[in-house]
Amino acid sequence: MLLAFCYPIFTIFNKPKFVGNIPLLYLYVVISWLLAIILLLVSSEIKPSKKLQKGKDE
Amino acid sequence: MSNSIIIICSLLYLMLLFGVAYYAEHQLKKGKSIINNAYVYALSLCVYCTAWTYYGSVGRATTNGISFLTIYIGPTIMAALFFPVLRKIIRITKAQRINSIADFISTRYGKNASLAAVVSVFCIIGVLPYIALQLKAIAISFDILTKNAISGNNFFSDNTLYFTVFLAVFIIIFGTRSVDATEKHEGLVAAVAFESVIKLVAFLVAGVFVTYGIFNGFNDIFLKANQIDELKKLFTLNGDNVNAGWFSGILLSMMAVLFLPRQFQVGVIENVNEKHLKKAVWLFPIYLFVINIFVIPIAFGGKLVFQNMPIDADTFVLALPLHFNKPLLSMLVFLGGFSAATSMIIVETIALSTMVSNNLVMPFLFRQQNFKTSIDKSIRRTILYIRRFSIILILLFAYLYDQYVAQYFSLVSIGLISFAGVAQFAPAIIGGIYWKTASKNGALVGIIVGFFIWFYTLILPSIAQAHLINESIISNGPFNIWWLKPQSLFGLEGFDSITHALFWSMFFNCTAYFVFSVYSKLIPQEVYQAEIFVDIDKYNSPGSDSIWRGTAYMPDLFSLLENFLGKERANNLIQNYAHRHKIAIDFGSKADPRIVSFSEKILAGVIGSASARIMVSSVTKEEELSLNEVFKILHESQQMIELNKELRKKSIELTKATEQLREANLQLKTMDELKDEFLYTVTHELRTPLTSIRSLTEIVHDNPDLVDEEREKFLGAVVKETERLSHLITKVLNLEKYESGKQKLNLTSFDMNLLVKDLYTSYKLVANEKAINLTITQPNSMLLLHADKDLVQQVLVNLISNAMKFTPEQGKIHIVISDLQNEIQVSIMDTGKGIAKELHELIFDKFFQAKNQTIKKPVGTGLGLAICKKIIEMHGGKIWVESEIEKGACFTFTIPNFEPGNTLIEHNESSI
Repeated sequence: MLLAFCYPIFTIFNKPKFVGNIPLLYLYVVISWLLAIILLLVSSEIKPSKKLQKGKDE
Repeated sequence: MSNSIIIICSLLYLMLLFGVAYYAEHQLKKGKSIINNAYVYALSLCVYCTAWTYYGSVGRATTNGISFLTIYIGPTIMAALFFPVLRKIIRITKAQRINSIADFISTRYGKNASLAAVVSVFCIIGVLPYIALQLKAIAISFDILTKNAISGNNFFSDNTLYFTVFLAVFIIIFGTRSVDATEKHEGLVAAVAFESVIKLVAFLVAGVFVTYGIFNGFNDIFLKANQIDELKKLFTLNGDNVNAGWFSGILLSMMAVLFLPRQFQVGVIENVNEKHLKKAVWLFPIYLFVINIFVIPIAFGGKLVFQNMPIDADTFVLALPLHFNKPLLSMLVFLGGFSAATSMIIVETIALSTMVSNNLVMPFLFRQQNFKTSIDKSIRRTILYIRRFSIILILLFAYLYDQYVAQYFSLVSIGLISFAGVAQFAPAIIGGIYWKTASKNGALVGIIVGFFIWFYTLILPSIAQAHLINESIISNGPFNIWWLKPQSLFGLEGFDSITHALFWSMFFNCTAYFVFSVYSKLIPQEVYQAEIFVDIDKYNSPGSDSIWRGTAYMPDLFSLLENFLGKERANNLIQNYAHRHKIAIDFGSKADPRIVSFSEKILAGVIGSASARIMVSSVTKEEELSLNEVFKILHESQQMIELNKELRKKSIELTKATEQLREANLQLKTMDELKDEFLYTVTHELRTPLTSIRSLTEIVHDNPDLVDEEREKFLGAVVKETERLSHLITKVLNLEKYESGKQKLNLTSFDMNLLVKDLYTSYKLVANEKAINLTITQPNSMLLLHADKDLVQQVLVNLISNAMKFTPEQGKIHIVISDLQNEIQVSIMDTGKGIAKELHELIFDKFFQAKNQTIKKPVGTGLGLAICKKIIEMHGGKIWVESEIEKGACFTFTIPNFEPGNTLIEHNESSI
């Protein structure tokens, strides 16, 4: 996740270009951020119930 | 807008906050905790978004574009580590009854009082400006709302002062109710969660107004911004070391979201249930995402609207609605910013006041012999007074900082400086929970060195910027030593001040932490705590907290606890603990070492682990343990835990086995009872013909002159009864064979259609004699079945005989045979007296028949249907009945027909 927001991937989008009137960098950050949140949502709501149980059992 | 309206609205808002907090406390008294909710927990974590977010992000966006987002992307990335890191910290905190971040670090490194004091002092130094920043935000927003009228020229006409006093009262009322700092602040957390909603809603409303009210959406703003060079360059991140700045911003906020005292307070200390993390992992980042959606539009919108006007960009969110004459919206925005500032002040002040009282004042007092010997029940009141006084003092200093220093800095710069300050705790905390070799010396030197560099590279330039010291120190370095220049230390240039400070402070902090840890000799207490912290899941179970060795007396220990907790609570805690661990308590004799350790832990929740250690040591005589003894204790403790786990596992298995045995026993008992009843029935059935045979043979025996005709009649009856007897015995034996599995199937292929037809023909005559209309419906084809022909015939005979038996004269019996693809189905329908629904299952049970024998004697042996069921089941088929009282019965059975070659030549059905 950290990689998506850091050098070198970040520099690919750090350019003065627009996508549908939205600056490319802004669009990239917003989309990556949203994807990161979705990833967190999926990984925490689907897997951790088992992990938590395991942790508790331990 | 007039001062009085703003003040009244602010006071009303504060009253609402009081109401929310009171309501939460009231609900708790009724046994319902509002904060024991994952959503409330996630919202309370959003105290991270302060006035800095609310006002400062916009200000930063006008100069640095989206670089302000690093402060929110960092926590999103850190959320992914909530389970391995934050959950572990929560578990340790709960197990060790830790009450602040300073207490956490101190407890980890041998409950060292000096370390706790150092961390507390640095927390205050690092965070006090941050609190001041919130007050500054309130003051600025107030001034903006009142059309830039200066809120006060003297001390007593300053509205910020009154807000500060109000907040102090609120915090004292809801934050210092209990002396136990580990107890949850129900009202405060509920209020903070409520404020998170308010600030989000207010900021979104302002954002929608700017984006869609003033402009025509995002596109419009970006198109217009693209025409202005100053804004156009913000569409990308520019600068020499932009990547380093971006990365350091993310890294800094990743650490801040866990280690800022207020984040530690709401995320760890106030956490009610670690399962709440599951929701917080994604809810918290969503909140950060949503609250930042309109930052850029407001920043660019403000720049576009206020071109060439001297408006501070930090205030755009409030200045824009005011500029467009929207007083209600302006008030809502003001209250949003007010809530963002107050929630931060509330939580941060509580966290700091606990540190001041537990890690600075208490240890100092407890070291004074006079104070220590004079401790009595009034100590609880003293602790609360110290905390309340600390709250007043912290807010007072924050207010003074705001009045005399903060004016020289922007909101963002103060916030980032604080972030870099608390980041210095990261190595000691993260290392402390994953690295057993980490030592107190390493942590202490690391934190001190890190803070020194932080102060030198960030605070000193700030002070110089405020003209409080000579600015040449910044430009030329102290004593004109160029490589000591605070903002380009050792010649490192080209980075922004925060990245520069973060790099050097963390570099020296981590190096010192590592080197001093590796080369320090650990004391036994450190080894023990390291083991507990790193392997919390191994030790976080009852009975694992008894490292203490020495002599202690229960009266002294209990008296100590009584003073701090009250007699009733102390007694309850000790009794419960003793009961759980099967420790015999004698309040007049020596204390068990585990009770001593437990007492220290309880006290740690009230006065911090370092102070608790001092107090317990004052009433006990502790033996110094060698490292070997500590390792031995830990080893024994681990073994004990393993043993307990094993025992628990075995106990669960035993419980399961006992339950299974109990069920089996019950089943056996029922079977036994049924067997008895069955035997009774069978013998009863056997006795009836036997009695007849005996009576008849006696008549023949006792009357030799009986006429031949009569003798023959009697002997005929004897033969008949003997046959009946033989028939019954055969059936019982058959049933036994089927049930025991002794009966083997003699499988052959035969035409089921023909078999049924033959039986129909033979029974037709009998039916005619009884005036019963027997009919059949069957396919006009050969229907091959691979089964035991004799047994299938037995089933058919039994079912047809039963139908004949129970169908009255003029009644009807209809046999239907049909092919159902994979099985053959035969139904025998009659117009007899029918069977009650509740008996449909039971009639196939031999025992049921036997049981009901005494109630209602059935015709026949009562074993026929049980045998039929067994035979059908042996063929893998099913048998059932559909019937209602007085409406006849329909017995149906199916037999699977998987054998290849089984063909149905024609499917046309005919009725006879």
